Amino acid sequence: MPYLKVLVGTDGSVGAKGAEDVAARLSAACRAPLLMVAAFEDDEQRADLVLHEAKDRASSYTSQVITRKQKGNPADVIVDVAEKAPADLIVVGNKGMTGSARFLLGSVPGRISHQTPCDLLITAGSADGSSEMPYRKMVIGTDGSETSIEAAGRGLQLAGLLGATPVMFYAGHAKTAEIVFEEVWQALKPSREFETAVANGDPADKICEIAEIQGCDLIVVGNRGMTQGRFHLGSVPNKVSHHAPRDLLIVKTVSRSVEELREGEGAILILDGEKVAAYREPGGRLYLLNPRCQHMGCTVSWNPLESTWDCPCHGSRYRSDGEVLGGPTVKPLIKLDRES
Amino acid sequence: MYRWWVFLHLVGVFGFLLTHGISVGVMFRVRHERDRERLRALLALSRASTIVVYLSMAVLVAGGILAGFAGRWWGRGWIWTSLGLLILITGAMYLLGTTFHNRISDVLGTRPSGAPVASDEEIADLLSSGRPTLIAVIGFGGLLVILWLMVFKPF
Repeated sequence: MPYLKVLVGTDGSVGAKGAEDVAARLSAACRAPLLMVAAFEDDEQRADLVLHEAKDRASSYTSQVITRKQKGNPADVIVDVAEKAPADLIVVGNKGMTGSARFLLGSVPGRISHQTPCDLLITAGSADGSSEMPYRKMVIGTDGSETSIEAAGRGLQLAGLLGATPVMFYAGHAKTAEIVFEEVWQALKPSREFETAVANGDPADKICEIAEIQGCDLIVVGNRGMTQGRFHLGSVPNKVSHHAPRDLLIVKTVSRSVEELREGEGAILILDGEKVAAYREPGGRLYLLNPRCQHMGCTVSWNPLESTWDCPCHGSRYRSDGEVLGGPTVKPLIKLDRES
Repeated sequence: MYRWWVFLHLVGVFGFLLTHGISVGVMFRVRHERDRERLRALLALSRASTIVVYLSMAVLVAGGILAGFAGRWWGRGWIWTSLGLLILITGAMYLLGTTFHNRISDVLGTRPSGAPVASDEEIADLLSSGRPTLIAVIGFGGLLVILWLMVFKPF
C-alpha cells in the first residue's frame, strides 16, 4: 500500500471539505487510518464542531477515523501532528496557493510544502466526485533523475491502487524523452504500461498544460527544490504548486532520513556523507546496505512496486535485505555495519 | 612611466587575444562536432584556457588604469566609456558563454545506468544554435568600438 496513515488538515471551509473527501477516499483505498486535524487559536469549540462534522462526512468512506485538535498556526500544527503520528501523506486544500494570495508568504499549503515530513497532496477540487476512487487519470512528471524516478514509482503505485491511468511526462526534447522513459521503465519495471507525453518548454507550465489537455485529475511530482527554504523560487514543484489546475501530489524524495523510512520502504539516502541503500522491514528492523551492485558497481535503486533493489545497468535484482534475486550478479549487496 | 604602462596594457591585450582565441575556436568548432568524446575534449581545452584569459585581462585592465593616471586621461570621456564597455561586454559574454558551455557539458553527461543524459538529436539541436555567433558579434563588435575610442579619443 502506498500510504499507511493519511492526515488531512481541515478548517471547515469549502476547500477543506474537498480535501477531506479526497483524503477519506484515499485512506479507504489504502485501508489506512484517517487522521483529521484542526488548528485553533482561541475558538476551541469551533475546532470541535469542524472535526465532528468532518468525521461524520468521512465515515461514509472509512470507519478508521481519528480526530485531533491543537492550538497553534495551522501549518505548524499539521506538520507537528504529521511528524508525531507519524503520517505518510498530508492532504490539504489549496487555499492561498493561487491568485494574488500566492504572493503572500505564509499560506498554509505553501508553508507545509517546505516543511512536510512526508508526501503532500494539495487538492484543487479536480478529483472525480462521482466514483469511489478519487482519480481516473494522473500525469507524473519525471526528468530521469533518481529522485524523480522514485516519485514516479509512488505515482505508479497509487495509479495501480486506484485503477487510474498513469501518464508519464517529460519536459524537453522528444528523442531524449525516449531515453528517460526507458530509464523509468527499467528502474521500476511496472506491471502495466504507462502512457507518455512530451513537451518542450518550462516543465512547470508544461505539466499543467498536459494535465488539462489529457484530462488528468492529478499531477504527481517529486519535491526536489522545495527543501532549500521557502524562498527557493523557480523549482518545478514550487511553481506547479502555485499554478496547478488539478490536485497535486508532491512526493517527498529529497531530505529524507533513515528515521523517515516507513516499514516496508526502501530508499537511497545519505548517511554521514555516504550513500546507503536503506530498507525498513515490517517490524521496524532497518537494513543498511552498500548501494553498489556487486556485478559492475552501478548504484542500485529502490523499486517500490516490487520491494526490491534493482540495478539499472544490467538488470541485477536483490531482495530488500540485499540477497540476490536475479542475475547477472552472484553476490549479495554488502551489509553495512551501521544497523539500528 | 607612461609608455611602460601602455606597454603593460598592450602585453595584457596580446595575452588576452591569444588565449581567448582558444575559446572562440572551440565555440565554433563544436557546432560541427558530434562525437561526444571529442566534444568533451574540446570543452576541457576551452575550460583550461580561461584562467590565463582572466589573468591577461587583469594585466590589461591594470596597465590601462595606470596608463590613464600617468597620461592624465581620467578627465576624458573616452577612457571611462572604454572601461564601462569592457565591463558590460565581459559580463554579457560571461553569462552567454558560460550558460552555453555548461548546457553542452550537461547534455554530454551520463546517467548512473550508463544511458546518456541527452539524445544525439538534442545535442545536435543545441550545438546548431545561434549563440556562438551572438557572442562573437558582441565580443568582436565591442572590442572594435573600444579600439576606436582608444585610437581616436573622440571625447
